[in-house]
Amino acid sequence: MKQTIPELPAFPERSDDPFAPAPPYPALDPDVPVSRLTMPTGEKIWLITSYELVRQVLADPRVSVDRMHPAYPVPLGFPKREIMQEAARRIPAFLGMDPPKHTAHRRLVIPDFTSKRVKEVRARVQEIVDDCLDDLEAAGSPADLVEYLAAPVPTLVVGDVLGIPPEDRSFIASRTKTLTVRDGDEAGKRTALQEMNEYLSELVARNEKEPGPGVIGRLVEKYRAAGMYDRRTMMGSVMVILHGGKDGPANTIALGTVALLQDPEQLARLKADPALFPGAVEELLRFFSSSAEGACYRVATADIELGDVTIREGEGLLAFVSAANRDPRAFENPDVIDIGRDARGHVGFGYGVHQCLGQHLTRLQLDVAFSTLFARFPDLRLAVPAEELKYKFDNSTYGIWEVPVAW
Amino acid sequence: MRITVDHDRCVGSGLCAMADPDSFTQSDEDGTVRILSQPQGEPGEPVRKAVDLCPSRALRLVE
Repeated sequence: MKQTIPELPAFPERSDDPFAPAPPYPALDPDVPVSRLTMPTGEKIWLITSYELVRQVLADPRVSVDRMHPAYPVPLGFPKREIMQEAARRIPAFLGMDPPKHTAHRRLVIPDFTSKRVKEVRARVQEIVDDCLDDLEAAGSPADLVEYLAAPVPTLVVGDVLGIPPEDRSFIASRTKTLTVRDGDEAGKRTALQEMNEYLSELVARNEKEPGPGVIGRLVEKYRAAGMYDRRTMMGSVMVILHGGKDGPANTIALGTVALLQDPEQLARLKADPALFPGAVEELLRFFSSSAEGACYRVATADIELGDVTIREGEGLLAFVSAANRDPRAFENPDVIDIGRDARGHVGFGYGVHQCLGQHLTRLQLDVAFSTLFARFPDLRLAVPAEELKYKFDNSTYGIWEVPVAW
Repeated sequence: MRITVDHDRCVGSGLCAMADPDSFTQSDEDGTVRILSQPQGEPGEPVRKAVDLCPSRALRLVE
């Protein structure tokens, strides 16, 4: 007998529990893998939450990421469809393209982000983490871990990989800080974003004249060699890499540190055997799934059977990866952090052809950041009660605004 | 059983190479999958995990 498809109330729902499934959204019934959801725009879309069906739908070639499709869901953060479409039109990025166009663009950057290539930058990532921890130490206890470690490390790492010159790093770091601070000044944040993007445009122009070291320089050359060079899609690729690469890892460093500080037994095991850090990183990525809303929006380009439900051609959907990562059929006791579990196969980096390009770089940074932090500050502790931490419940990327720590 | 690849689907995630470095690597040229060796007899856990992890389902184990 077919189950009635439940209708969920308006999205998003708040939860007071920062470690709740798919934070900040409340628990979703694991026996109900597909439901209907009303977006803030009033549009109704399919919500997919089970591990099996999230993977199935994201790997299905009949789903599209084309923002110009009239039924592509308008994500949180865009009050209107027209605004989302305007943004996509101005800066076309490969994350909004379908195969085969997507394939052509993505293939040009894949070699710079393979696990082999990423291993080569480990020493540089270590340097960046060491420098950030020097700043933390100089600030004196107590200090904000987000300001000194969680926010700057991913920005500096991805900036380095892109080829942002050393003299420009503090500019990028300061604009990142403005963007990540809680009490904005919306106008200040818009200005910071604009300045960052103007800088990127100017950096691309510099690389057009003389391709420098780093991904931007190599991408200019590859696009030209392929006869595909276009300033706007070049900017799109660069912005996907920079903006995609800075928020997720920053939030996971913050959330992961807080989680480990509240779990002395598991933290002690990690400190005793740092070889456990990569597995712990994978588990933290599963548990927090902190990237763009933990959500992958798609539109069906043909009818798709998903469990008991048929998604019709032209209907929008949201594959909720953070819920999928808490599916008890995929992960035993999913709402518990277990650094010893094999968390590979989580969908925190998404699934399908758009799965995160930078995932190995993120893994590397988190491994280096956590292992160095806890080795260098063995007495690290929260400087405020955990209940007082300000979680980003109302932000599209889940994280914590400040993490005051003491040592 | 043997590993098959739909090369058009591969997005170079490298998860196969991470799970089973004996069977898979990534091309230096475009980062896509290269099979290093096929299973001898019954496929073991690493190659099964690698096939399962592939985000675009480019890999399959077939008779």
